[in-house]
Amino acid sequence: MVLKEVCDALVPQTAPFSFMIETKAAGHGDRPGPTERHRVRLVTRTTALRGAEVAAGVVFTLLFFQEFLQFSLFDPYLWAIYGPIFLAGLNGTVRYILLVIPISVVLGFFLGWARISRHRTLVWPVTMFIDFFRGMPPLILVIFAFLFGDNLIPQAIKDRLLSGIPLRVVSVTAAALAIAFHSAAYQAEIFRAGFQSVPKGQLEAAQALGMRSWQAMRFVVLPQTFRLSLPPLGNELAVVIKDTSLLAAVAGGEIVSRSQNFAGTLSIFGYPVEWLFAIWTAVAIAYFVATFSVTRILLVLERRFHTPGLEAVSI
Amino acid sequence: MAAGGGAPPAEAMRGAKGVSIVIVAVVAVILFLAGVGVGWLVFSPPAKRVSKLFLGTNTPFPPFEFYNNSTLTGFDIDLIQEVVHRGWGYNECTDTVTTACYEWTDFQTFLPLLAAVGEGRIDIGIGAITENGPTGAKRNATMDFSDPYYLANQGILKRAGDTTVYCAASDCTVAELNRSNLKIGAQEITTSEFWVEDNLPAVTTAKNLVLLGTVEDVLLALRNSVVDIVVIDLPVVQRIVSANPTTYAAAGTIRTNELYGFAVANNDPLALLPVINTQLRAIKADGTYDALIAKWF
Amino acid sequence: MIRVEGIHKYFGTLHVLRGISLNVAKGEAVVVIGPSGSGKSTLLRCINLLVEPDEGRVFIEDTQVNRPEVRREWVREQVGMVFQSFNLFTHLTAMQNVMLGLTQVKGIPKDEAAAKARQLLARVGLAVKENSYPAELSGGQQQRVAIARALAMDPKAMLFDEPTSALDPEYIREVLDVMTALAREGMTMIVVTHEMGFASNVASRILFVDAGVVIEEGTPEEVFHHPKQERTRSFVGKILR
Repeated sequence: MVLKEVCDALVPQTAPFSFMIETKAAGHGDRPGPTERHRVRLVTRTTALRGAEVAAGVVFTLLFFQEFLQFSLFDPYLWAIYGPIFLAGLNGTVRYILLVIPISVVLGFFLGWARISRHRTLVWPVTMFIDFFRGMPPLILVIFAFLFGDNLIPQAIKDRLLSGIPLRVVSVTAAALAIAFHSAAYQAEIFRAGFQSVPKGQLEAAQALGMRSWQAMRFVVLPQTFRLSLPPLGNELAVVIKDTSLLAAVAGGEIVSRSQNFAGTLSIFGYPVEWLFAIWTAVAIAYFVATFSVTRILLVLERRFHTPGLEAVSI
Repeated sequence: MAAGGGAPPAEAMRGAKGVSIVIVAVVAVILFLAGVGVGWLVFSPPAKRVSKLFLGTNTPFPPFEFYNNSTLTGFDIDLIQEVVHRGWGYNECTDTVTTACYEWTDFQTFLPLLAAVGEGRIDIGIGAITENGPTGAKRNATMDFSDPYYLANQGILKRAGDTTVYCAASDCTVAELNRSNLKIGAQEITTSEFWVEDNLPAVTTAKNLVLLGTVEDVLLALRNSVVDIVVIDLPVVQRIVSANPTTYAAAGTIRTNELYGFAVANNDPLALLPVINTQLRAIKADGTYDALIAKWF
Repeated sequence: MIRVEGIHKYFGTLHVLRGISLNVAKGEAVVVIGPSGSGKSTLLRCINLLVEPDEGRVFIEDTQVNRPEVRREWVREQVGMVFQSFNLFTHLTAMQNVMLGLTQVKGIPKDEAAAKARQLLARVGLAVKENSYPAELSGGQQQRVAIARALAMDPKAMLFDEPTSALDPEYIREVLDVMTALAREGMTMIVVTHEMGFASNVASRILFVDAGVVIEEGTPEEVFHHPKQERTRSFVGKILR
C-alpha cells in the first residue's frame, strides 16, 4: 500500500487535489452543498491550470537548453570520461544528504521543543544557538568548521577515538555538521511553530484525563505537530539538499567539487571547453531530481497522515 | 481507601523527587562545551608528532596539482611525494597505515591553504606558491619557504586562428601589451592578475582586464572573443596548446622569473626545511627532476 | 465528597480567588453562577489541580490533595472535567478520543477499551459517529464526545466549565439532556453555567460567586427568586429575563 502511494507521488499527479475532492464530496453520507460544489469546481479548474503550467515549463526548458542538448549533453565521449566522476560525486552528495538530513531533523526537533520549554535554563542557550546558526551564512559556517573544526575537538577524544582518521575527513565532516546545525536552527523554528499550533486546551484536556506530560506529548501534541510541520519541513529539506553543494568550497568530494575539479582541467586534457555546459546541466538535473524526490516523499507522508480537520485553509 | 481524614492512598503518592533531569542535561552539555573551549585555549595545536605529515594543497591548478579521475596528481604532487618519501621514508597514509605517513588535505581556495600553513595546522603547503617578488616578500612574514623548485614565467595565449602578432619577439615587453584597446583575460587571485594590474595600467584603467574564477572560464572567454588574449602561467599555456593545438596558440612569454617553493610555518618549528632542501638537491642531481619536467611540461 | 477551604490564588498581582470555600456532598449537583472574571473557572481548576492554589486546602473524599506528595495524575483520575471549548483531540476519531485515557492512563487493553468506549458513546447518543473526526461533528456532538471521554475514566465527580457557552442554541439542549441524565444517575457534579433552566431543574444548590468569594448560596428557588444579597439580586436580574 505504501508502494502504491510512493508510485502515485513520484509520477506527476494530474489531480493533485483529488484527496480533497474525495473527502468532501464523499463526506460520509452528506451530499455536497452549494459551497462544496463550488469548491470542487474551483479545484478541477486549478488542476487543469496546473497541468498546463507543467507542460509549458517542460517546453520552455527544452527550448532553452536545446542549444546545449544538441551537441553536448548526450555526447557519449563526454560521459565515458565524466561518467565515473559524476557517479562518484553523486555518491558523495547522497552520503552527505543521508548524514545531514537526519541530524538536522532530530536536532531541529529537540531545539524547537526546548525553545518553548518551561525550564528557563534550557530556553536561553537554545535560543542563542538558533539565533547564531540562523544568522550566519552557511558558506561561512562551512569554511569556519573546515578550518577550525579539528581544533575544537578535545585532544583526548582525538587520541582515543579519532587517531586513525585523516585530518581532511575530520575537517570535512565538521563542515557537513555545520550545514546540519544551520538547517537545524531553521527547523527548530518550524517545529516550534508546529508545537505552538496545537491548541493549549487539548493539552489541558489531556492533563485533566490524568495523562502525564510525556504521554500528552506523545499522543496529543506530537502527532499534530508532525502533521502541521510537514509542509514547511519539505521546504527546508529541499534547501538543505542544495546546501550540501557548499562543501565544494572545501573539496568535500560531492558532486559539485568533483565536477568543479574536472571542469577545471578540461583544456589540459584537450577536452572541448563546451563540455562545461553539459557538466553543469547534469549537476543541476541531479539536484533537481534529489529535491523533487524528497519533497514528493514528504507529500506522500502528508497525504497518508492527513486527518480531516487538520487541513490548511484552502482558498 | 483512605484511612481517616488526611492520608491519601498509596497510588496517590509521588515517588522520591529527583533533580530535574533537564537541568542536569543542560549543565552537562555546557560543561562539555566549556571543556572544549578550555581545551582549545590551553592546549594549542600540539607541536608533537612528526610521525605523520600533513600536506595541504589547492586544486585545481593543472599541471601542478589537479585530480585525474579522483587521483590527486600533478608536477608539485609528484615532486613533494618523492621528497617526503626520500626524506622520511613516508608513503601516503591508508586505512591500515596511520603513522609514519603523510596525509593530503585539499583546500579548494588558496588563501585558507596559506593561513593553515601559517598556523601550523598544515605542515607543508604545496601549490605553485610564489616565494619571491613583492608577493613572496609578504608571505615570508608568516611562512618560511624551501629552496625554489621551479622557475615560472607568465605566458600569453591566443586563439589559434588569430593572426595578430602581440609580441614581436618571444619575450613580450610591457610597451607592446600596455594598450588600452587590448582585452586581456586572467584568473583572479593569481600572480597573472597581479602582474597585469601592476604593469599594464592602460588595460586596467580602460577596464579591459577580465577576471574570472577558473582557468576554464578564462579560456571560454577567449574562445568567445570576449577577450583577445589570456595571461596564465607559462607551463599551463604550454600544456593547453599541446592538448588543443587547433584551438589555441602561444603568443609569447612574459619574464616574471617567479620562483615556486614549498611553504612551512614561520621559523620552521618542525625542522622540515633542511630535509626538504637536501632531498630537492638530490632529486635534481640524479635526473629525477628532469624526468618530472619532461613528464609534465 | 469535594471540599475546598479558604483557597487563595494570585495570577501575578491579580487576586483571583480570595479565600473561597465550598462543600459538595456525594451525589449532589451544584451549579456555580457569577459574572465573568469572578474566578469560577479558576475555582474548578483548583479542584482537579490544573491550577495550584497559593493558599488553602482541597479535599477529595476527606483526603487533602493539594499536598506536594500527591500525584496530580491520580487526582485528575478521580475528578473528570468538561471544557467550554470541548478540547477534543483533533487528530483522533471520537472512539479514539474516548479510548485514549483508558489505554494510556488506566492501562486497559485495546479491545476492552474499545467496548467501553462504544458503550459510553451510545450513552451520550453518538454510537453512529464513533469513527468521525471532531472536525466532522457539530458542536453539540463534540461536547457530548468530550463528556463520554471524561466519563470513561470512571471519575467520582465531574466538573463542567461552561459546557454550553460555546454552542449554537440548537445544540445546547442535547448536551444539557446528557448532563441532566448524569445528575439523575447520581453523579457528583459541579457545573459552571448560565443555563438557568438546567440549574433550576437539576441543581440541589446554587452558588453565586463574585470577585473570588461566594456571595450567596442556596436552593435554586431561593437564589433566583428571593436573593438575599444586593449583588446577587442585580446579577440574577440581568440574566433572568
